[in-house]
Amino acid sequence: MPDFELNSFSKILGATVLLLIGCDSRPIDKQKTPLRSNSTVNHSPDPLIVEVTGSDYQWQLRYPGADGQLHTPDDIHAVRHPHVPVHTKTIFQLNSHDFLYTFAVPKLNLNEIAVPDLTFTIEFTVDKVGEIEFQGDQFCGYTHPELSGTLIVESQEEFEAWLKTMQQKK
Amino acid sequence: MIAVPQLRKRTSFQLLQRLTFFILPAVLTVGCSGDKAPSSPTTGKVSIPARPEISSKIENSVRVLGTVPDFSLTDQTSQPFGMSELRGKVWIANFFFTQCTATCPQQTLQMTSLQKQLQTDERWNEIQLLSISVDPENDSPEALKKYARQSGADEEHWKFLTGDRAAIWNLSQEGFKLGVGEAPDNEEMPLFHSSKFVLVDAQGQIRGYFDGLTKAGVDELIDSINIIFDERVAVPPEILDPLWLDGRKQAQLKTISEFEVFHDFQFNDKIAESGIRFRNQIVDDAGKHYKAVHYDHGNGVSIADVDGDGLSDLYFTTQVGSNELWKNLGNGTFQNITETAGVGVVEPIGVTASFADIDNDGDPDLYVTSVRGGNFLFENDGTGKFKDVTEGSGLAYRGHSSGAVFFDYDRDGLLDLFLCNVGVYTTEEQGRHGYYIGFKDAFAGHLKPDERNEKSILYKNLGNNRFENVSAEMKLEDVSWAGDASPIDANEDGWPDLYVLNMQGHDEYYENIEGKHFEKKSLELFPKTPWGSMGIKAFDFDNDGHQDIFITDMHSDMSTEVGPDREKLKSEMRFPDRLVQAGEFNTQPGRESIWGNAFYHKQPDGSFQEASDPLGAENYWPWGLSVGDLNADGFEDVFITSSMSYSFRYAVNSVLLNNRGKKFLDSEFILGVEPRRGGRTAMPWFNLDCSGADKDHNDCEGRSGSTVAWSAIGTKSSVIFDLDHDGDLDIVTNDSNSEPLVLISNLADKQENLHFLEVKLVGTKSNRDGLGAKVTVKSGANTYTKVYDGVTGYLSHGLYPLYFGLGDSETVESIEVVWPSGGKQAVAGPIESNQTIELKEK
Repeated sequence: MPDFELNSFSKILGATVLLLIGCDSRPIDKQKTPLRSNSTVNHSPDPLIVEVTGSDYQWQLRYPGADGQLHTPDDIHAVRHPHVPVHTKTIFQLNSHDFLYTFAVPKLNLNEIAVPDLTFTIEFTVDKVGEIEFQGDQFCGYTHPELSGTLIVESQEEFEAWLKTMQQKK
Repeated sequence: MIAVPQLRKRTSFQLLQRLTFFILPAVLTVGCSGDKAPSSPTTGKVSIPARPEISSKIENSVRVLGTVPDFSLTDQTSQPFGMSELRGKVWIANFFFTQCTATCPQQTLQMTSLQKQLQTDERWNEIQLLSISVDPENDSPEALKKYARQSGADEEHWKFLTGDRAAIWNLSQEGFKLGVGEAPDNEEMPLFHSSKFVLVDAQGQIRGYFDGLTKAGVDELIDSINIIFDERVAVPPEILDPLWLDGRKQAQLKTISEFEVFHDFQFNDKIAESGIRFRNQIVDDAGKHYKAVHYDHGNGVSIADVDGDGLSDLYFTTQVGSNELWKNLGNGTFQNITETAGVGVVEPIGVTASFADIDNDGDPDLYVTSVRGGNFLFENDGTGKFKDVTEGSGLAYRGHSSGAVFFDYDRDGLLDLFLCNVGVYTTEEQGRHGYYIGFKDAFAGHLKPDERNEKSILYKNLGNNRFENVSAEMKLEDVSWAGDASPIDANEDGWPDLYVLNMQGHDEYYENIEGKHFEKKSLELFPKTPWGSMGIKAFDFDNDGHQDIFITDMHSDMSTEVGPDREKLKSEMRFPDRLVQAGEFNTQPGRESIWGNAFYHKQPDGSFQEASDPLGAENYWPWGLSVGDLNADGFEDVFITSSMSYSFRYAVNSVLLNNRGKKFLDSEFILGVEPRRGGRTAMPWFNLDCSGADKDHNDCEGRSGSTVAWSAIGTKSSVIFDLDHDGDLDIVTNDSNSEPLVLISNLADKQENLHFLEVKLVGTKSNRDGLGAKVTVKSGANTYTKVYDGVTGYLSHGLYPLYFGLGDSETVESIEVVWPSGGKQAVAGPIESNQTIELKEK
């Protein structure tokens, strides 16, 4: 189930130029060189760490609350479509409660797996607000549309407002 | 939908009426002489099917009233016809006889009416009509043929059957629960039988009895046919009629001009004629509860002459139920001797089996592997009866075992064993039939080496049916996710080396250092290997005297959807690097795997050059391969078992005809291997209750009530040998959750100049069957070389005569054998072709 309402600003698709600062997973298509920022942008010094867990063919998302720590009582939970702030180094900690899943963001050349009891991370920074499609899969022969979704890149203020909304849903 | 009349929604009251209608006819053995059934039939008892409970769940469903037992009779064209031909079809049967003048003409009239209504429906090819004669003495195939013509039967879809009277009567009484008997007091009508039409579904289940004398009965029957078809959900939907299949066939037929070699012959699936009634069964992890776990890798089939009669017998393995040993009776027929042979292995979840003469007494012994049910060693007494000698043998390993490779690594004359163990892919939880349920993340097992790796084992044969694990001292401690392996003397020093397949990473190659230990030289000889290796066969592709290696890769084809137009290309490999680069070798920078089949072509300098693409060795979703000279032209051809089955699309079994050592040419359609018998591409896979226990199942989406999930058919293992002793090579398979293919070649009829030589070896200093021997045959200007390695197909190892196709040559000038002992032996010709010769080691 969608966990958010799309804002009009986030419906900018296609023409959006993604300025990727970096990612630590090897690109899936080595022919494509990720675009790098040549502009001067003030990046938040602390990365945002999000736990992304495959569970019963869904992505469970866990964000740190006010204490900035994961797995504390003020954690904020969401499902499927991650929100991230623009210009902020973001780390997804991929894990699974059950199956082996894949998590790929083709436009960011990210492609990783989620495995129970193991944690693999992907890091990225996006310097433009907008929506980026991600693809999830599981190895059972069926497609699971709910494993794919949209990465919502928004301003810090909008991101914090979204977090607050999600926290209130708790 | 059946065109006329359309399916109507029913009220509960109507359903109640109809259920009553279904059940009672089974009791009323309506006779040909009228509706009066005798109170006590003269032969046998008429069982009454239990009345099903009627509940609110039965809307738009028809109950299962029983299962038709296996039978095989003879049709109006004198061909065998029975359950083998009917499986996967919805069929309607009745009993009659041609001389019957009472109800039979009306029955036949109604059947003709039924045919007329059904034959315009798009599913007509999935429907079969049967009229079975209860008077076979008078109803010969010729008589039935005449009757069929008079009745206006579409004879492809409406079969008239005859056969043994007792068998037919028993089928009527016990199989269909319909009375049949003699009425000696009635001179005009000395036989009585039911006039009902029986509806049977694609799984052989009886779904209803209908009045065969009235239009109302036929209308009711058509409604039920509609309901049964509505129960079916094809996963994925295209498997019922893959539109690309005919296009593929036409395209392949157009390539015939490329063939320099003989190809004017056909394979025909003669499962019915063979008498083989084995049916592979799968655990739920490969079916209803499908997940990506190694149970979907299927089972092997092995051959050896277990009773010394000169004919190769077949041993089929299955996950659920009993493995089966089928004795070759000659003339293409087989008999199930599992029970007397004592090799059923019923409870364990079977994987595969290998025949090898472990005690050098001249008969093949048998080693059977299972998933956590233990492995079993059976000693043959020479007559095809086996004794379980597992205890004390040292071979009772209990784990996730797979292929078992017998070879004499230390050349002491006793066959040693390399047992492939895949890895820990199961939990402690047990499912139906006692199988251990697989991990949900089993496919990531190689990322958890500490928990999930499971070493394969090298056993040394100590004699007296005892083996010892010598993996550590021989430095052969392999932790690959290995389903199988093959001996290969890659450096040609006379010591058998070992190639170990890895289904989730780089393969391993171990050089045998004069029987003292093994050295891993994978990267030196094979810097790139397939990532998902499943099958292997070493053979001399171009008759240069050196062994090449063909490896099939299944897992690479899993990474992305491969359309029919991409099957000859390597996979695009979409799995994350994390998954495919794990493992000892693959973490090295810059190293990449081959994303598909590999063909290692031996070069004059001793190296192997990977040449799968230029040689045309790629195919889609392969498991393993069997190799043999299918057209007897002197060049080895290849049969690749393929297709994943549930829940993936249909994939063809591939036949690669060797174009005189220059290239492989796709020929499965040209040679009649595809399409399969009756054009079948799919079959019932499992049942679901979409209104109850299974309502959350993926295949129940948008459905209610009884549902049958259909899957693409898939072959896993195969063996090539001269099944019927007619001089050409045939193919038998082991198909998951299905009966085998028995593909009989007609080369011997089509090739007037068929020349071949079969060579059987008898070792004296070497192991008794000479496994590991290199045999070179000179014939005309050609020299053919084979190494007897016992590798018969995917997961399968056995004993068989070496078959040399000789092309145009009628004689052999010489045979040279290099025995595993090191001894060389030459036999001077001329030796006549078209015979089997036995060579004893001197």
